[in-house]
Amino acid sequence: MIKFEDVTKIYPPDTIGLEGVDLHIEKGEFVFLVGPSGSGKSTFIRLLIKEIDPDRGKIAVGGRDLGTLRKWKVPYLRRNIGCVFQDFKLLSSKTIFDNVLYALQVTGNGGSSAKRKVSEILNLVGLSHKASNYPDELSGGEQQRVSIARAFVNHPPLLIADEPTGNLDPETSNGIMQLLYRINKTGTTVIMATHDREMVDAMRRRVIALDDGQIVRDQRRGGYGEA
Amino acid sequence: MGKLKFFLGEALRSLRRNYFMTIAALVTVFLSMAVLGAVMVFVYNIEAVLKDVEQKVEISVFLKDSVTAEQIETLQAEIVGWEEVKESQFVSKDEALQRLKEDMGEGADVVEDLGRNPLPASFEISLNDPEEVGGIASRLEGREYIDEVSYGQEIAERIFQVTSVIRNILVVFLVMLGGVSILLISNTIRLSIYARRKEVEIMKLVGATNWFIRWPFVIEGIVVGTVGAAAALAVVQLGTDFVVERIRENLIFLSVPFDAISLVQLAIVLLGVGALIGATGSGLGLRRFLNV
Repeated sequence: MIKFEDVTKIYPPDTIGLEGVDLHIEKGEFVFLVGPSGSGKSTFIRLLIKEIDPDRGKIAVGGRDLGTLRKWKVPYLRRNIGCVFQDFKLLSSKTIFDNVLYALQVTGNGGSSAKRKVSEILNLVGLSHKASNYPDELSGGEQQRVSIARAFVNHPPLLIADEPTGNLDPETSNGIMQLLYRINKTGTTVIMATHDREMVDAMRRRVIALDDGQIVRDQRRGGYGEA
Repeated sequence: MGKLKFFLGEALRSLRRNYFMTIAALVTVFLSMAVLGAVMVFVYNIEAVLKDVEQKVEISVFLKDSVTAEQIETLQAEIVGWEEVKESQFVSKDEALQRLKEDMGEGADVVEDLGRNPLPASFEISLNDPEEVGGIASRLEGREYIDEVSYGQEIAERIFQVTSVIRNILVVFLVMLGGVSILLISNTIRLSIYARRKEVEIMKLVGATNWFIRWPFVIEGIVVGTVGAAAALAVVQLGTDFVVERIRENLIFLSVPFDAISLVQLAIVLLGVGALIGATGSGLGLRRFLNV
């Protein structure tokens, strides 16, 4: 699914994003990306969606080499990667329903089948009753569920979550985790960057720990701080 | 088709939601276009006046009384043969007298009392380019059966000097004004896009292509540009009518037509420029935010 070969990204002048990272993530895996701020988690994610390009090395997603992927094809790559962010990144000018629908509209699919899909996924995340509300009328946890609904409405093979629970209280975080877990059960690869120690320890999934842009640990059923 | 509907809907919705920016942009377009339109009307009328003045520059060739009909015919043929000449009209002694009588109206009796006709026959020559007047006149001067060639040389030259200076000033002014309008409008649009750069970033993350993001913005720009320009057009047109009316009432003796520039011409220019600036302003303004 995802392959990093000796990937290095340096932010000018000399800040290390990632350094010599080799990595392989299989289809259907659930992977935690842990590490202190500035350890390279965000760089990793931005490289995956080709928001930035590496200075060295090769990245392949779904068998496609991102290095040779033309710029105009990047949107098509992103349609196959659902993204969830700490700050939700919802369109404040659109209703909840339209926010999720937008992810389908960009693929040229805005008809009645798309609307049915949106209704289904909002039902799944338990927000059908807020469909016509605007994002700023929702709580943080609710907004994050909308964001997950949007990321998953296409049923992408890969879902990336960058600190999705970073702004949420523990109980709400649990709900979000459950959602991601269920999504992973459908066969979607999930990569989640997090600081949430308890969550990682409770889930017992593959843990990749980054520090200073390097992988310091890659454990099949790991905890947050285990050596 | 469904896409067009979607883009239109997006554009209109966002115009409504960002109404403050919409109004700011509309006012900017309206003011720039109104000033541009007013100046265009002004320039157009000045140009009409200049043309009118220039057209009055004619060459009169007065013939000696001894000239024969044959000579007149040859000369007429020669003059008409010159490509600079638009029209050459022969005015016989009788016709000249007739005209004088008409001009004098009630005082025409005086002319009758003269007993004989003192007026010379003449050619009245108008030119395609009135500025050639000097050259043509010198070609005719000094021929044996020509008494005098007159075209008000000094006045004509002064007129051409003044009109060309005025024209140059107006062109520079129009160009500067157009440039200022474009800058002002595209700046306002840039500002409104900047306020929405987060939105653009999110759209990109969800996998929208650049054009998918761009179209609603471009449509927004076109709407704002056209609506603002239409308002300006209405104001300029009404204002022109008003002013022309006043001039007609108070300056009846002015022979200049004061035909306001035609509404269609003005509409094409203002609406076209408005829509174009709106569309390109939005399209280009987006560029930096699309590079995510």
